[in-house]
Amino acid sequence: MSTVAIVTLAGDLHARVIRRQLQEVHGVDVAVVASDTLSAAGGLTWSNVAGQELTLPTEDGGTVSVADLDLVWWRRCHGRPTVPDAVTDPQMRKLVVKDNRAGLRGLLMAGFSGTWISDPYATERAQNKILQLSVARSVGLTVPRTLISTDPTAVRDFARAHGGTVIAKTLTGLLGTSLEAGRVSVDSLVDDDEITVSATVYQEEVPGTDHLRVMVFGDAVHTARIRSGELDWRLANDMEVEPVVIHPRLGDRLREVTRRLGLRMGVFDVKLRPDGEPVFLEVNPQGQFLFVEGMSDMPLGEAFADFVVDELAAVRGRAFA
Amino acid sequence: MKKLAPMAARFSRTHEGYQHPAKLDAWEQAVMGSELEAMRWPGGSISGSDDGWDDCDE
Repeated sequence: MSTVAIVTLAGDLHARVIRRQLQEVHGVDVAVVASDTLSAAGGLTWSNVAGQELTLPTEDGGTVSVADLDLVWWRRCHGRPTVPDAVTDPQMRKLVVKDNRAGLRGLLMAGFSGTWISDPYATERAQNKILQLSVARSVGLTVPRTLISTDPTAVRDFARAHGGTVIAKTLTGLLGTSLEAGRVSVDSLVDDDEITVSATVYQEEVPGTDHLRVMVFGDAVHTARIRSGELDWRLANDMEVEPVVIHPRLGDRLREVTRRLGLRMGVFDVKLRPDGEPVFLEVNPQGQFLFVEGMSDMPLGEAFADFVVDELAAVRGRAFA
Repeated sequence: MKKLAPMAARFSRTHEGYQHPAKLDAWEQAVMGSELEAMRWPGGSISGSDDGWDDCDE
């Protein structure tokens, strides 16, 4: 029997749905490792002394042997880690978080020989929006004209060159605070310090109301159209979500972006211009996809479980080759 | 001292008071049951946000 570990945050809805699907439909053992509660869980052990089993704690209070794992879904390795209140020194609290994180990563990198969805370092690298935009363009995708800068003159010139108003958005994000994309006009770009303090993404606005959320799971491509009058649909109350089929060429290009970033999966945000041209906005290496199922009844939990099973078959094929 | 925030802060929103679509809420309730409220920010969806998953701080 195959064993899968899902490394994620405690109480993750995606992990629950996929675990249930894998266990009940495919008979795959699934261990959920909560990366944010390691300091309270115990059970993390690595040693180079012969006979010592490598183990990780599971969310249900047990442990899983790393030697038994065939596949790791590296879904959420950060988040807000829990540190016991009894650790009062802020520096030591930080050390607890860092050492647990290094222990988790190191143990898997040294002791796990199965397949990743996706490799931790590829995942981290692929998160960078500058790299994403460059790779997307290199495979022939249309991308918005973009400036990422801390130079007030360059930012104001860019806004003027694009009709006086551009989109501004963060390069990364914050847990618990929604940082939406928004419009900034050149008239509002008067405070140099606000521009200089941190690198920000400035983009030409892509008009239209139709967005695509494209889930690339290995070779499979699943697409939902999200229709919303909001510039940023993430907190939109008016969004309508339904499955659509995209042009094979777009699917091929998105798969190629995933491949070039070294990922096994990617969740893409694409916007459709009124003339129908799809414009790449970003890829989330471990993007959320089950809200699409919740909104549209697309069976994405089932699709992702099928993808995991295919990956497991490939691991076994390599093992017996 | 002058208060300063990055450009992206202009468009920051907390999830406080936000009601996500009823269809999604019902689906999340069906999956998570009574644990749902403990798992999400007030009003927020737990299956839809990619924000800050790579945060490193406590």
